[in-house]
Amino acid sequence: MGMSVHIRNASGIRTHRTGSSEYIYLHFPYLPVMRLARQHQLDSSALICVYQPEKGVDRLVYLSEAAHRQGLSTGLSVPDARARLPEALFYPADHVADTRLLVRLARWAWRYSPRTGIDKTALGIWIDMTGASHLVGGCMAGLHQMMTILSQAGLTVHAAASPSYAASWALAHYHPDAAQGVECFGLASERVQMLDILPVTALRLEADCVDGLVRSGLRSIGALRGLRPADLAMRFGASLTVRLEQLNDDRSERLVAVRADQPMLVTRHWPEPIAGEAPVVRMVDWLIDKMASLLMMQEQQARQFELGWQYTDGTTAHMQFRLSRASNDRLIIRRLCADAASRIDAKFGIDYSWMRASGLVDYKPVTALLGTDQTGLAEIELEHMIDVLAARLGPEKVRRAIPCDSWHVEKSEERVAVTEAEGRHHDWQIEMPSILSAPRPVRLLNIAEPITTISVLPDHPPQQLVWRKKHWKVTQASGPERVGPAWWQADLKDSRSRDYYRLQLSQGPRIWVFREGLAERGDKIGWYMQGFFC
Amino acid sequence: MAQMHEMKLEKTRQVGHQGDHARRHLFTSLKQHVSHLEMGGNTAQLSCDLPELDHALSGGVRAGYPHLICGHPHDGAATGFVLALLAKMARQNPEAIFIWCAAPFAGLQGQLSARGIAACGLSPAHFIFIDEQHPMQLMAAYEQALQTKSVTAVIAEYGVMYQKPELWQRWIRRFRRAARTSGAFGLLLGADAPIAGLETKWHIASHPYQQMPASSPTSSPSLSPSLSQGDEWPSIWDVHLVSARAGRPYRDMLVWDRISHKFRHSPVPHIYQPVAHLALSAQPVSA
Repeated sequence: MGMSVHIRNASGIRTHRTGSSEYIYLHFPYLPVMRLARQHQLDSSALICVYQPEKGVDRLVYLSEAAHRQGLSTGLSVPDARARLPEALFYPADHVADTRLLVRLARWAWRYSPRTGIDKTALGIWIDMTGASHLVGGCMAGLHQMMTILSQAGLTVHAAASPSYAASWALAHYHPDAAQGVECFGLASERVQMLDILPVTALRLEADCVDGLVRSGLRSIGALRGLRPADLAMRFGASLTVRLEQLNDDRSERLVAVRADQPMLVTRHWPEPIAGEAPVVRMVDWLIDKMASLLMMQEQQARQFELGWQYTDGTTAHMQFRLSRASNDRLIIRRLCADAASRIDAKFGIDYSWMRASGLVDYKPVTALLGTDQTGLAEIELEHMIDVLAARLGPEKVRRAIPCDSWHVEKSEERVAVTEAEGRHHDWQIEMPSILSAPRPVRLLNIAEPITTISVLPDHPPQQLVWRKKHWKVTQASGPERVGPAWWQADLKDSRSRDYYRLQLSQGPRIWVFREGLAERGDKIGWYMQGFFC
Repeated sequence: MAQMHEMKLEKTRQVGHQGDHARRHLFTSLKQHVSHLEMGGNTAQLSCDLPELDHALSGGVRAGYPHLICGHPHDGAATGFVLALLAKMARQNPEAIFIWCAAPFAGLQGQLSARGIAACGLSPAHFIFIDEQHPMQLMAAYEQALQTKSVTAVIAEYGVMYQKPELWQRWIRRFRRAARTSGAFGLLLGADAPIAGLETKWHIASHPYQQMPASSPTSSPSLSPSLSQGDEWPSIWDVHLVSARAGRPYRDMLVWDRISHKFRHSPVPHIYQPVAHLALSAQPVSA
């Protein structure tokens, strides 16, 4: 720790100059709720609850301030919360969208420091103000400026500034005055005093370790002060002593800063307007060649390419291309953009054109490129085929199937573009006993088709049915498998229960039909054809 | 290898008494050898577990060739048979990749379900789906996928294309070339179509399953009050190998075991009656 000097600036805010680090941590406790409120155009008084499945039960993870005031708390199951507050709105957690928003906030903070990062598990961003705080009149001045701007943008933010990341994190999350902004640059004794009142959860420990500390009566950081580090490490693991050290010393902290996602750009002003088929082809080829060379020189590969041009009248147009695997190979990019030239209508001429590459990754030559790794070569060939088909048919037509958490078979799977599957297609679980107990047809009709049935009793499977104007006789039936509606979803409240039956037709086919509605409830009963078994 | 065959042929001539049968066998093996050389040494065959069927196929379903599997649109049997073959391939190669080309709004016969694939004991993670509504673009995508060496099998549901026999001759030639390039299994799935030039042509239909202790199966449907454990409804198919370039026709009633991924003979008696109500009236469109 270096020597620190405290002065007061014109506005009375104490500024701080020191030879040590300066970290600001901004915690956004209601970030997912605010994102959803803006997305669905809800006001701040809306009772918004965000849930995610935990051990098979949907539990609340984030709540709006209004929902908190109404007595809801995180960890509550969705049915319980709905029973307590029927007017509350429930949305599934979207951690990807939250992370994306945090990255945008971290990039916004580049105006204060070139080194910023996100803490996606705890909904926060950090700003390393070391060496940059004097530009905004000191660390605390910067902190208050950030809080003012973010508050005006409608974000609730808890903030803290201190010489270490761990202390800033702990104060921003657990200090009672964090909503007004807390600084901890004073004397060592003042810092200790501020940190000692915080609970042990402020040390970012594993849940088991925290449980152990609480059971031992060690509830606050101050309670750990008098104990020997060796004893703590032996009893609760080495991570506890490391976290305690990190409150004062950043050397063992591993922080990853947000990187600028700057696209690579190749541009050209053409001396004469380009028109006609052959010149446009040459223009596209020139841009591709330059882009491939630039990527190779920068040792980068790109996943997305934008080919754009400006007409003589000043209007612009562009087209996008996407690769399933990042590349800087001229031939691959050329094949990807094979029909681009034919799709460009030069009109009265093109003045200016550009090619932009984004989604950049570092280029790491692999043995596959040398022809020594057959498996790698095969993978590359498969991905090239996917790229070609995606470019020709559209990326949304080359897809993988991913499982969805729904009992309704038509909603229990989703097809997503190969480039967006992100490994989720490996989530399928094949368990033989469950397959046999809950059979599913190999082919599903796009829309269940109504059928006319003849049954012995109302709750019996049909003996005969008419489907597509043809009579079918049933020889065997199995069921029912009852699937209830998703009553907790507002738009499905009026849905009816379905009883699924497997039917063996005398002509051979085995089909899956369902009866919608319950006779005992007075529902309108309807029979529908859903699919075919093999 | 060729010298060895010549020596065998010479020996056969010298012996003389082995007759036409041995000569035919020798020519068959020579043909297979030439085919092997043409394929660049890739003549993988997928055994169907039944010696009679494998013999009819001259060893099994051959990789590097297109195969036609027909079925009725109201029946999932042909799809099930294709999935059975794919399950056997996936068992041999756990990293197998299958490309399934189909129209997303197929209408009459519906769409392949990933849950249904999983119910057949096959992981949908093996599959990449090409969903294209335009039949000609779908066939072009099928050809492109069939050229890819790292793909194990490429399946196309040709849908309404069965009504265009004038296009098939060109398409089949291109499919054969593409499959030979990659060594992948090319499977064409759809309604019965007058298509020639394929390695094998199959017709698959569901056979009505009847519970063994059923007293009167057609009188009234037996209702199970709850879903019972175990594969109570096995997939019984009337498997008809209509033609095979390197083999001979074959027909049998087979059961697909979804746990062991094996075919076995059906315990029900063989009744080879033409299923008139399932015969599709495939009228070629006159040019």
